[in-house]
Amino acid sequence: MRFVEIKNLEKTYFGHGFFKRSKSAVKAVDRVSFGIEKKSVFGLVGESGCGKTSLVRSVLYLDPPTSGEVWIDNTLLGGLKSTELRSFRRRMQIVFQDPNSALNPKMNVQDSLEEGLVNRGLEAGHRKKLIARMLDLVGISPSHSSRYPHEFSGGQKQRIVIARALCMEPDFLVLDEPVSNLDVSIQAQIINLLQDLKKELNLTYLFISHDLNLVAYLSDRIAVMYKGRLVESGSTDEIMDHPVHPYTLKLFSSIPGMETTVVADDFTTQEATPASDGKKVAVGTNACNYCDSCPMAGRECREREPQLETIDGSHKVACHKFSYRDTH
Amino acid sequence: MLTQYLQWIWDVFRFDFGTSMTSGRQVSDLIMERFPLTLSLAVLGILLSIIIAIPLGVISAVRRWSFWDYLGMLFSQAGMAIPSFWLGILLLLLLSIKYRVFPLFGSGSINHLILPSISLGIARAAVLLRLTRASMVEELSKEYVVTARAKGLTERMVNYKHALKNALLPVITIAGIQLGYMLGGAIIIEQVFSLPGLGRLFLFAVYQRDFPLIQGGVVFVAFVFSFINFAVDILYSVLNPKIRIT
Amino acid sequence: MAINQDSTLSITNNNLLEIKNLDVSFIQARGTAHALRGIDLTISSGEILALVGESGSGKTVTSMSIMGLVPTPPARFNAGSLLFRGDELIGRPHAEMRKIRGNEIAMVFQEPAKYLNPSLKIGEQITEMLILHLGMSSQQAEEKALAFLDVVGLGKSRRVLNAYPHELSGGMKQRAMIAMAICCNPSLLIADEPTTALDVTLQLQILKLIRNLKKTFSMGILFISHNLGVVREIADRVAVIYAGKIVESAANKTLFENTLHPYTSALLQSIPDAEKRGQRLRAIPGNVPDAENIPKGCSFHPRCALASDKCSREIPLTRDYGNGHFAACHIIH
Repeated sequence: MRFVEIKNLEKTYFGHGFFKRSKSAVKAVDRVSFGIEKKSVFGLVGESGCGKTSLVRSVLYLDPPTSGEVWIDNTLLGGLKSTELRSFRRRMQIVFQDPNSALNPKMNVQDSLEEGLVNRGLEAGHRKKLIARMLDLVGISPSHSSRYPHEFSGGQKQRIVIARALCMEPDFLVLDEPVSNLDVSIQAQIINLLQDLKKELNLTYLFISHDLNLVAYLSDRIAVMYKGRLVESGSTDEIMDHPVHPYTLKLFSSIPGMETTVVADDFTTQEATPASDGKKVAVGTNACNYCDSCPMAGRECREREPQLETIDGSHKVACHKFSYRDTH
Repeated sequence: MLTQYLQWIWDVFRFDFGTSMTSGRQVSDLIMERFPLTLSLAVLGILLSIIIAIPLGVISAVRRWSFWDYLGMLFSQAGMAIPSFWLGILLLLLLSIKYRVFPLFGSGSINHLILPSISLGIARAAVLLRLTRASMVEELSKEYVVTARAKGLTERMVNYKHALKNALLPVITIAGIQLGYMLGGAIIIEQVFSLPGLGRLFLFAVYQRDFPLIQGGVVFVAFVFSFINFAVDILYSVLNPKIRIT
Repeated sequence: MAINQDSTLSITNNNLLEIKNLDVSFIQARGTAHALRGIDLTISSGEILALVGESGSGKTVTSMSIMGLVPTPPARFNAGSLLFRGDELIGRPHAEMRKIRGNEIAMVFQEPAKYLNPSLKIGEQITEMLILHLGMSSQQAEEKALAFLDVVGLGKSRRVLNAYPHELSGGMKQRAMIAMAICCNPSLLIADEPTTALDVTLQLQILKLIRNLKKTFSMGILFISHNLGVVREIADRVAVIYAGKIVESAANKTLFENTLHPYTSALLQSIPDAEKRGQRLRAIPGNVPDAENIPKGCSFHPRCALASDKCSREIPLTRDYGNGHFAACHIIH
């Protein structure tokens, strides 16, 4: 079993209806399975509303999944008692997109970082040493630890957020769009830092982004998520060299600045109706989630949902119609 | 004991609170007799406070740190600091005794309600004014206001068409809640102006240990309060397109 | 290679907008922020000029200055001019500026969800401009609004017209906002990061739409962005702004293929992609400077790998490197 193993994860949210409780249910995460090897980076790509955030919350048991299993280092999270889960959480930390809202503006850096350590029951001397070490690791001078968040730039704040996560001495780190709120000239600094930390501290990353270029640069394996389901997954080379799912292809062709041929402006199919904002799918459809926007969709796609199947090596895709093209 | 309670609940559903111990009359009759006066007093009071508070609050927000803003702040400070009974007495002394514009006691005509509703409304207006100002200031700092300016709209359209509509939402909620409170009867004001409203009825009931009347009053006030809140929620959903009744 | 002293030399006369030596500072309690330190930009009709920069570099101040929406005080226009069709915009009376805004110069913003009024219907937000600027009746305005919804790819949909912003998806909201901006047929459109808040697959569609608008209405477009990929996709010419100064400007292809300024090339190199896998990214050290304390000399010198002594002392002049390629750097030869 791999270090992180997600099996058939499902998360359903119920709408607030008086009577029609079951009808307004939405599956934010739908039968998602994947594994992450120790000390590797798993990249998850998807657009807003595809269920990335729900998936992360379920994986970390911040919001337990409706069904399915999450194994981390041979521990089944669903099998833990709430106290055990709380102490296990130390090992899995998350870094969010916006460092401004992740730090309490009324707490200085030292206090922000110390909070979690007090909960861990570490004594004061040990806490200080650990905080100094982690701040140093992320490139913030420990002598600045009495400063408040507003005295730092966006990039520095994100470094502090990372240091706070590291203070818990985790082995699994979820990075939810960690650089997309930062200035272009700062992003590379943070990406380099994340790579250095991974080596130094033997970390395993689940890296989430909408930026295919960034995911491709950083990850060992990539999965593409669409409307709650994984539509394609594989090693970075497999995905980058032979993307096959029509949605993955669309993501590729959407990268601006790359001179690629793009299908004509297809908003008419996607957003013509104000009612369907294309974010969440109602339960009970038996069609492929993507068939409404897919240029290749046929009858089969509307009648039977494709399953994630291996096509080559570790490369899996959920599509009836894909054509395997060798781009080399 | 239990059957007694169930019987009482059943009676309440039929708007029957029993008979008053002191007067021997039906509690529901006593309440309905007094309610119109309290209702008109409360509605007048809240209307007055809205008429004062919203324009002044909007002007304060639009021209921050101007003469009007300071006037508004002075008014709201004073309105909150002055107890309404004292204001009532002052108004009586000035306008009823000295100048005899309004009647001193009694009820029945609209003239009798003007002074009490002013004394009631001023304090409410003070609260609403601050709220309107704060809410308007917040809306004016929102991004869509920049859009409105970038469209070349006049400042008046930016303020009154774009910002005000959004700014009024919280004000309406609070005004509704205040109306609910006032419908429970304004005990002190009714005392000062010797108005036969609900407040005095319930005060009297408490003095006399008239339990059926107290019980009936509590249930009635609670009912009116929830009804007002419900009405405000409906109004809110009409004004705020993001909330739709399903 | 001549020092660009007479900037009119390289400029033809049909410039829609001509910004000359614009210098703006903000006087605040904690000090003066020098937001724009003498920038020169020109946009002609039917051209997309992209202004690229990071947060605090002066992009927004530039667009707001053109719109006449920079309040003075706290802002102060120290020098320079903003010529729109040859007429000075700085110092125009408010009433006159209001007739230009939305009518002749219009703007599209970053986050349609925030920049549209949540409690007014889309139709109302479009028609109010037509009624105000073009004196249409509300019926005429509605017809025109429908026509423009069609132009931006929403179809002649009364349903969209009667929808509140929250009832539309992100992409539709941005299209509606574009319809609103172009409904009075402005000759200059300012698009401030119009795709940043959108999903990647929608981004390209909006970019295409903007490019089509340029062609159809021969508008001049000032496209503001921090994303070099987006800029490469859409711009005819590109100007890179750093700490309130244009450091490099050139035609799109020239800028990306023959980059001159160290800041531009460092930015390009720091962008990750699959090909750089396994290598360390060449990150730019340090932080973006605040407008309150901009480094002396060349403002980029503390972060520049090539900086010399001279760079920390003297502000480099903007030079013409041929074919309309300008850069401000001491070390380029």
